[in-house]
Parts: sequence; C-alpha cells; structure tokens
Amino acid sequence: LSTSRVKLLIDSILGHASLVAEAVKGMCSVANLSSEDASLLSLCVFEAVTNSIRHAYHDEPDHLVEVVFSLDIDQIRIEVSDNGDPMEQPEEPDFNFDPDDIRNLPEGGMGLHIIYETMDQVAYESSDRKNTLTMIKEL
Amino acid sequence: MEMKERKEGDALIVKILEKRFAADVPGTFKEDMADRIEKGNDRIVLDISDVEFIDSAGLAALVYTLKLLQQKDKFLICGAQGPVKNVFELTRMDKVFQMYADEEAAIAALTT
Repeated sequence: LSTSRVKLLIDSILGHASLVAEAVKGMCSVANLSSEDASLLSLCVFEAVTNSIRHAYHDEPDHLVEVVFSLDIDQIRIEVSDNGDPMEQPEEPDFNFDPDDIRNLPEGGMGLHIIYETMDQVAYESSDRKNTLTMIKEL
Repeated sequence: MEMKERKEGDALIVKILEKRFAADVPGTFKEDMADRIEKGNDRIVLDISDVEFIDSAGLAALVYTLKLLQQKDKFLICGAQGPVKNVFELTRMDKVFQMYADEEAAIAALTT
C-alpha cells in the first residue's frame, strides 16, 4: 500500500494555525485514529505551527509554515517546517515539577512536552535555513 | 477573549465564553485576571465548560493566574470536558489545579 501524502501551506498568522490543525484532525479520522488521539495529534500540530510563527518568525506575517501529513499502513508522520530562526532547545524539555510548589510551576515548555508525550518519535532538523519538526505516531 | 463574571458571596465566578482557549484567540486573559485580583478578588472560580480546545498558551495563562493568587484553594477550575481534560492530565496540570465538575461543586468547595 502506498503512502498517502498531503501538503498544507499556511501564512505565518496565528489565526490560521487552527485551520491546519483541524485539517489534520480530519485526516486522522481517515486513519481510524480514536477521536481522543486525533484531538491530541491536532493539538501537537497546532503547537508546532504556533511555535514556528511565534519563535521562528517572531510573529511576523508574510512567511510560510509547511505541514506535510503522511499516512502509511503503520504510522502517521507529520512534518512541520519553517524558514525562520531555529529552535534553541528542540530536545525534550525537563518537565519534572512539584505540583504543590506554585512559585516554580512551569509556564513554558508545555507545548513541546505535549508533543513528546503524544508522539512515538520526535525529531528536529535545521539546515539551509529550513527547520523541520518531524512527529511520528505508530498505528 | 469573551468572559462573563458574577459574584457569589466572596467568590468571583468567571466563565470563559469561547470554544478555544489558545494562542490564536486574541485577548488579554492574563491582564484581565490580574486586574480582577488587583481589585481584591482573591477567591476565583474559573468555568471552562464552553472550552473545547486548550493549548500550552492557555494552560500557561492559568498557571500565571494561580501564581498571582498563590494558593491552590483560591483558584478553582470547573467544567473541563473531554479533550480539554486530557490536556490537563497529559501536562499534569490536573495535579496543579483543584478541578471540579461544575460551578456548583466549585463554589461549595470554595465556601466551606
């Protein structure tokens, strides 16, 4: 069975991020993912796209974020790419915290934590001014 | 971000009237909550039962509010549904916030 691939391009505008996230949710349902998993994958795409807009492009419009959704027999692969500044710390964030220590609760790093917790594989590559976050969910 | 509020005894009940509580929803949630606290509201119930989608920015705004109030039992969250509840669990924020099924349960917890 061949891989089905859909490529989506959006402008670097926060208000557009939900469009691509919702599209991914719809494609997940074709892959027979539970609605719970489809919602989480959609959230991961939203986090990755808003991350590109806010941190790679610093909220500047007129740039593009590319999302490639590939459905294979045994996995969903989602690549989110931008041509902005690369992430400084793309590795899995240290998300250990004491839930009772209010003063030191994390306010950052939650987006990447959600991605690492939801996905089976996460990789980040930056070369030739193209940054790509690859997220894989095994089926 | 559209919200509505009412007083119930000493408690301020704030309801988010949006389906999305996320980075793409323009608004000043953090500033609005800081303003409410500045005005002396130090017992707050936040009703998120209308919210169908929350992201890391939404959660961070809640953490920010809790840090202003400094005590878990002064900032209660109620009405988290399905996917929203899952995101709280995934990030362990369900261990950070005192969460209740609905406003009635949260108000009862706040006033006892």
